[in-house]
Amino acid sequence: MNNPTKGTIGQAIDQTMSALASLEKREQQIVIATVCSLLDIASSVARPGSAPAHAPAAHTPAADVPAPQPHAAGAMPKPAEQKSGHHATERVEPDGDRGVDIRTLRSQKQPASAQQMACVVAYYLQEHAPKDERTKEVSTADLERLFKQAGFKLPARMEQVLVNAKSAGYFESIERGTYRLTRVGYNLVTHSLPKATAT
Amino acid sequence: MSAVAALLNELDALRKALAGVATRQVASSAIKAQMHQVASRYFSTVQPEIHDAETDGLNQVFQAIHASSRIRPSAQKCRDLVKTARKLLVAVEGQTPAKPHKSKQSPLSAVDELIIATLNDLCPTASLAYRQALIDLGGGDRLSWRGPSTDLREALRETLDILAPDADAMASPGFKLEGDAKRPTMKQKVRYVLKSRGVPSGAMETPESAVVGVEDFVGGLTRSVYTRSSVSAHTATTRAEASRVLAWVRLVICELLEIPLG
Repeated sequence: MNNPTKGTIGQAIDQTMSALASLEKREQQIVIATVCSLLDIASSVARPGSAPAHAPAAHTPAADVPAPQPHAAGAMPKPAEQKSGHHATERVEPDGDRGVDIRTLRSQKQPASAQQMACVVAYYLQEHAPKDERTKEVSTADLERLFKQAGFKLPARMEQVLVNAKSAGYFESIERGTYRLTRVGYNLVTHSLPKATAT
Repeated sequence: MSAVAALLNELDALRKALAGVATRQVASSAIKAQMHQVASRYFSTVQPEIHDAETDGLNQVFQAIHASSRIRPSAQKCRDLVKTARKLLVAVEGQTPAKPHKSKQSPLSAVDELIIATLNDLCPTASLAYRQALIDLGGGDRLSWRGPSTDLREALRETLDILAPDADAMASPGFKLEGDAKRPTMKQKVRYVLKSRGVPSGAMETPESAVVGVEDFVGGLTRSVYTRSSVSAHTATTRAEASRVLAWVRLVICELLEIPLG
């Protein structure tokens, strides 16, 4: 790497602060993470929402949900992989029997839109619902029931939520009216929610 | 049991399931999920361990199995694919112990591992291209850095083609093709995906500008082959740039795949 004239650490901080000043908080974090990546620096800077300051330190029922931080590959294995024990040691296994209910999950993940809430619902059904209700398939009827249970405001066009969430890449269609959470949707719930609001 | 042997067992189970399909097309979501899992397993556990000369045919057949799992495929075609895959894998299983193990993997960051795992599920060939670029960039000196850069661009392009198919992007309100383009640009596809997610337009600028950076740089790299007289001078300037392309691509892919960047 070029090192024409070495400045002081203070100057570097000033210049960095000045360059970042006009950007929003979220953009600042993206820039810092990218620069760290380019310079091969281990960064503790987290993406907004990836390590919420309000996250409970102690174990709570909601702490069963995998911490929203990057894990190794397969750290969020699909249920099929979990059953086979693949990467089983790399993640905190969600345990539906211990009762992370949809209201708690919603409160922890703080979905900001019906699409995000649909992902939380699908994730709940896949990982946290009581065993006899657990399923990878989700329909509009499931959404309506669990939106109500979670106290999430019902959107005006409930039937469009899964269609739109599919366009966003969060779901794939299995058959007419039935959808399955994609890996991207899974990532959203386990790694990206709650999203930070721009400040 | 080796990864190849385990995969052969899964293929046998899939073959039995397909044998029981009485219709011309596979409609069962359970069987399609099985196909998806078999293909993902190949790309995540077997493909990295086998020799380059053997991967082309296997990659193609498992990519076809993966793609078939997304649609309602012909049952006969699926049976043929599984049969071909089995034949190729048996050949690999016989050869592998005779050859020294080739370690292709350098240590990956948690983010890159997560990207690869997600791409394995979404688009295995994009995962391979991304992984190959990381291997190349992590290796020693190269005579040319075009390979990793184009691999990265292709990984991004294929990811976008899955998340934002041309027809869907073009059907979105207000869409217009850019200039002489015959299909949506990568930037337009990024906008389509993020808009579908309700991302505010201000927050789209960073990933969009990263995509433009990738297109401009890699496009320029290809054009420069014809305009620059000294290839060696050219490659000397592109090593750092290839790393920059990686940072751009990583940024956009993280945004698209909902993976925290760092």
